[in-house]
Amino acid sequence: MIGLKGKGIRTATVVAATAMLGLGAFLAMPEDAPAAGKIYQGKLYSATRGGHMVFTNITIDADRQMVSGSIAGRMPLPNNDGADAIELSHDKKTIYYPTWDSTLYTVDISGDEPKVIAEKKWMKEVSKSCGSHMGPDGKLYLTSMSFGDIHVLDVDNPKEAKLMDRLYKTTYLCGVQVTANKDEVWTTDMKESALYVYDAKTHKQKNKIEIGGEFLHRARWSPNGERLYQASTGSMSPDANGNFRIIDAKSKKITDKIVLGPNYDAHDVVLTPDEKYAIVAVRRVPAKEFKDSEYVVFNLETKKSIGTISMCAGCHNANGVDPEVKPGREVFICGAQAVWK
Amino acid sequence: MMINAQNLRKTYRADRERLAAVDGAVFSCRKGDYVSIVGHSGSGKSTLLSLLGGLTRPDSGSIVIDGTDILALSDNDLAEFRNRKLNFIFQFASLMPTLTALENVILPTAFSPDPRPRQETAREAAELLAAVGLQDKLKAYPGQLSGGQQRRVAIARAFINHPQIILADEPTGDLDEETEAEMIELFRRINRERQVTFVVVTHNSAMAAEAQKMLIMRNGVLQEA
Amino acid sequence: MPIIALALKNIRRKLSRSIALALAVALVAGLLFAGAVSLKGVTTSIGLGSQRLGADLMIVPAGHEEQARTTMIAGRPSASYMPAEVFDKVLGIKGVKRASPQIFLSLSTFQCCSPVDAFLIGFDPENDFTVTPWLKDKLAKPLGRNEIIIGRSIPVQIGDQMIFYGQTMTVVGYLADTGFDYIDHGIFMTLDSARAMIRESRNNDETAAIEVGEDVISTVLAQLEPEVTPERGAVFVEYEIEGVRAIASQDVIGAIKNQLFTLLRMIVGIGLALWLVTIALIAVVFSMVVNERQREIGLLRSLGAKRRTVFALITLEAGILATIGGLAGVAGGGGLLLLWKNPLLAAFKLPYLWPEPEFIAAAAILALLAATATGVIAVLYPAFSCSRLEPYEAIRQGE
Repeated sequence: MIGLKGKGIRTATVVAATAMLGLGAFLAMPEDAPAAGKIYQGKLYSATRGGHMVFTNITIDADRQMVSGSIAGRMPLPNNDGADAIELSHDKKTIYYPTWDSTLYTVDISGDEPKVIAEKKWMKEVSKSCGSHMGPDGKLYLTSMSFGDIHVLDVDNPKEAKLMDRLYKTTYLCGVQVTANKDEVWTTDMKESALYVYDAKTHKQKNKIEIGGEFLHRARWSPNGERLYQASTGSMSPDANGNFRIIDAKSKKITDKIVLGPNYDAHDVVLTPDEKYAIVAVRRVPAKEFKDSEYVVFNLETKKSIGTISMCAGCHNANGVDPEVKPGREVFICGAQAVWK
Repeated sequence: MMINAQNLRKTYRADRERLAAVDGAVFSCRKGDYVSIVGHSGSGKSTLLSLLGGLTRPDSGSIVIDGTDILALSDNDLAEFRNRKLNFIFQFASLMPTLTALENVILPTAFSPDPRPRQETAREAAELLAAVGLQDKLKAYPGQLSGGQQRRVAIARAFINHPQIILADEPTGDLDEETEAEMIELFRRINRERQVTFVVVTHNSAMAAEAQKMLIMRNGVLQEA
Repeated sequence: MPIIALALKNIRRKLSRSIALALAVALVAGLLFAGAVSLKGVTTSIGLGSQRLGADLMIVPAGHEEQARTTMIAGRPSASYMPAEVFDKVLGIKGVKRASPQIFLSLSTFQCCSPVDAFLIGFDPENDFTVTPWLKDKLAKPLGRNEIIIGRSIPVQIGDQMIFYGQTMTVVGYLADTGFDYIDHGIFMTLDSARAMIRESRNNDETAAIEVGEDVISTVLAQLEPEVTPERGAVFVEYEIEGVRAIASQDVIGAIKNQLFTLLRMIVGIGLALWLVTIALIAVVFSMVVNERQREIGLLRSLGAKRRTVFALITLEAGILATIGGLAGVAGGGGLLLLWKNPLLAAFKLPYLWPEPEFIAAAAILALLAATATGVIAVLYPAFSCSRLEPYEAIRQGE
C-alpha cells in the first residue's frame, strides 16, 4: 500500500505538474494569437466617404484557404461627413475617426455597438485627414491632404482632443507611421509618390524612398514593426493597377511588391497578428461603374489572393440604395483597422 | 520681242463645266508697238490682258516679256517685275479712296525695289497729273473727283514707274470725247517718244484705229483683225 | 509712301468702326493693367506690412481671431482683452524667441484740423520689436509717462500735445508710412501710460471711463526661432495656453493671397473671355474689311505690292488700332484705379501702397504688348488669306 501510495503520489505530482505547465502555457498565450485550427476571426473597421463608418466580420480559414465575411453594421457620423482615416487605440477599445472637416470622433467599440463618446474639432480649416497612426507616445498622428503636413493630436482626454504640433510638411500626405522606438516618423506623399523618413527628435528628413508614377496611400507597420506595408493605386491615371509594397524598416528597401490587378485601387493594408495574411482595402475603379470597395485577402506566403468581401455594393443593393457618386462623397472605403479575436 | 505669248489657255469653272476664257491665244509684239484688242463683252479680252500682265497664271502656255519667262518667276519676283516693267490702266475706278490724287499717282513707287527720292516722285507725279489736266486737283481725294477725273489720275499713275509696257483695259471708258481725244493723243505721244509698248483693250473705234496692229477676241480665241 | 501711312489712312477711313474696335481692346488692356497694378499693390502692402510688423504670431483672446485678422489686414485694432499673464506664458513656450504685449484702448476720434481715426495702443518699449523699428528718428530717451509716438497719418508734429481721456500726452516721435492703418493711425504709449489712462479715466468725472481692467492686454506679438514655422508656433501656443488663439501672420497673408488669387482668377477669367471676344470681333470685322477691299488689294498687287506687303498692311492696320486701344486702356485703367482705389479698398478692407514704378511700367508695357498682339493675332487669318489671292482673282471678286 505504502509502495502503491508512494507511486500514486508521484503519479499525482507528475499529472499536477503537467496540468500546471499546460495552464501556464495557456495563460502565457498572447491575446492576439489566432484561434486554434488556423481560423482567424476578427472585426474590420473602415472609414468611408459615405458619411458612415462600416464594420465587418471576417473569417480567414487557413486550412481551406477561404475568406468569409459580412457587414456587421454601419455607424452614421453625426455631421455625415466623409472620411479617409481610421485608427485603433492601443487597447483596441477605441476607434479614432477624423472626418475631412477636421472633426475627431472618438468611438467606443468595447460594447456590442460602436458608440461616439466624443466629437471635437481640432482646427477650423478643412484638413482632409488621409492617414493616421496611434503613435508609441500615445499621440494620434494624422496626415493632412489640404495642408500636406502631419497633425499631432493629444487625445488623452478625447473630449478635449487638442492639436499639439504640425510638421513634416510635403505636398499631399497620406501615410504616417512612427517606429515603436519613437526614433523615426515615416510619411507617404501621394502626389510626390515617395515615402519620407524623418528623425523624430530633430524632425530632419533622413531618407526618401521614391516610388514614382503612383498615387501612394496608407502605410502600416507589420505587427513586429520590421516591415512597412505600403498601399498604392499603381498609377497616377484613373486606370488603377493597385498593389502594395513591403519595405524593410531597417534597410528602407522595397523587398516585395504584390499586384492586385487592374480596376483595383489599394488604399490600406491590415495584417493578421502573425503577418501571414494581408487584408487589403481596395476601391473598385472606375468608381462610377463599380460603386464598390472590397477587402481582398492575400496569403503572404503564396502571395495569392484567397478571397474578397464586398464592402459597399452588396450592402447597398441589399438595402435598395443606389448612392450618387460625386466629388468628396464617393462610394468607397479608405482606411481600415482590425480587431482580432 | 517685247511680249511673246504662246498657246495661252485659261479656264474658269462655271457651274459644273469649265469655260475657256482664253483659248490657245498667241500674242506677240515688239518694243514700242501699239496693239489694240477689240471684242464683245465677255470675249476674254480682260483675262488675256491679266495673263500678259502676270496678274493671273494660265492653265497652259508660255509668256515671255522682254526675255523673261514670267511664268517661271516666283510670286514675289513677279510682283517686282510688274512694278518695274509694266503698269495697268483698269476699266474700273482703280484709285485708293484714302489717298489724294497725288498720293495715288506716287503709290506704285512705294513698292519699287529701287526707291527714288520722295521729292522726285512727288514732282514727277505732279507733272503727270498736269499732263492729264489735273494740276489743280493734286490734293483731292477720289471721292471729290468725277469718274473721268479719277480715270485720268489712274492714267497718270500708270506712267510713274516709267514702265515699258502699258496694259490698258478700256482706258477711256468714262471720259468725254474731248478728254478721250486728249488721252489718245497722250498715249500716242508717250508711245512715240518713250517707245512704251501699249496693249489696249477697247470698244472705242478711234482708239483701236490708232493701233499699229488690231486683234479681235471671239469666245476666247484671238485673231488678227 | 510708306505702308504705315496707308495703314493709318485706312484706320481713319471708317472712324466709328475703328473707335469701336479700339475700345474693345482698351477694355481688355485696361482690365489687365488695372488688375495687375491693384493686385500687386495690395500684395506689396500686405507683404511690406507684415514684414515690418516683424511678428510671426499675433496672440489674441479666443473668439476674437476674426477681429485680429482684420487688424492685420485692414489695420483696425479691436478692443478685446485677456489676462496680462498670457505674455509670460508665451515667453515660456518652446520656439518663441521674443514676445511683446500690447493693449488697445477703445477707438477715439482725434479732431484737429480734420477728423482722423486714431487708435490708442499701449506697448512695452522694452520688449518691443514691432513699433520702434519704424521710428523715423530714434528717441533721444526712453518713452516716458505721458509721451506718445504717432503713426504717419496723425496730423500733428513732434512736441505737440494731445489730450485723451483727460490725459495730456506729448508727441515725441513719429513712424514711417506703412500702408497699414493699424500703424499709420496708431498713437503709441507705454503699457504703464495706457494703464494710468485707464485708471485716471475712471477717476476723472469729466471724461468717459475706459471700462477695461488694469491687468489685461489685448495681444501678444511673438517672434519665433527660425526652425519653428509660424504654423507650428501657433499650435504650440494654443496647446499650452487656454483661451487664446495664435494667428500666424503668414496664414493671414496666405488667406489674403487666396482671396486675391480668387479675385485674380476672376479678373483673368473675365479678361480672357473679353480677350477672346475681342479677338473674334476684330477677326470678323477685318474679314469684312478685307472682303470690302478685295479690289483695292488686287490693285495694290497689280502695282507691284508683294504678298507680304499686303499681309503687313492688314496686320499693321489691326496692330496700330489695337495699340491705340491698348494705350487708351492703360490710361483709362490707370485713371479709374486712381479714382476708385480708395472706395474699393475700403469696401474690401485692404491696405494699399502703389507698386514700384518699374512694376507699373512693366505692367503698362505688357498690357500694351498684349493689346497689340490681340490685334495682330486676330487678323492673321484674314491677312494671310487675302495675301494669297491672285491679283486678278482679287480684282474680279472685288467687282
